[in-house]
Amino acid sequence: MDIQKRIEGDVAILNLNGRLDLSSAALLKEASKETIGRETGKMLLNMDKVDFINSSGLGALVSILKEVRNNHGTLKLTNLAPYVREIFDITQLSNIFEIYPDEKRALASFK
Amino acid sequence: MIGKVNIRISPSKSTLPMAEEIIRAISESAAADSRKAFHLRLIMSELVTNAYLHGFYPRSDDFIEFQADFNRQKFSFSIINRGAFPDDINMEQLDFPRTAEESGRGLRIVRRLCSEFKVNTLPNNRLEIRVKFDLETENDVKTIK
Repeated sequence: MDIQKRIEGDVAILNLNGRLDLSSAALLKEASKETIGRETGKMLLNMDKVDFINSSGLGALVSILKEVRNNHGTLKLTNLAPYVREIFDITQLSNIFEIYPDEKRALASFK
Repeated sequence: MIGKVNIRISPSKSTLPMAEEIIRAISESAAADSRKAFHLRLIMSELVTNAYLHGFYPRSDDFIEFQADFNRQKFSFSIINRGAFPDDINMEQLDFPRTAEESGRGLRIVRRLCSEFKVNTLPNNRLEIRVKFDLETENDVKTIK
């Protein structure tokens, strides 16, 4: 998995590219650690280029969400592919994560 | 489309991405549409990951065997590894409500997507999981409560 970081206003955005599974879960957790430590604690994961996710990937996201909340931050997800979104729905994790259809609306929701 | 694939792979950190690529290729060959292919890939990925996580530690001199057998209607997949079913999971628990952070989510996803799910204990401390997936009809993908 390739992870690119950028900042929009006071929101740290991680662009994820590739599959999110056991092999890449640790990489994502490590990348998010630096972001969690930021002052505003606002993090957006853009999953536009995530073509596959399994329970290890879901577990990594839950772990990051917990860490963000422990640090009084906010984590949101955007641009989930339809099949990826379906897995969030099947597991009911779509009730736990804030998920937005596109980055513009996700960023607006932080304000 | 008809096919049969037999794979024997030694479990290590470096072979897991290889296994995932093989799984992707099988799912794209077997499924007629991208949604079915995604579900197939997810089922196999969960079972292979489960075997890597639970089947071998602390042994690393063993191997995982998996077999995919498919035609236009049905996809059958079996995986054999050393070890036992994870201690914290049993068949009944797979159908019970769970929290967001627990283990076992992967096997529950598999149970939801597959039309058949069987666990067999084999001689010499080996475990086999066999699943079937309908390639033509819509599978039950109700939410996990």
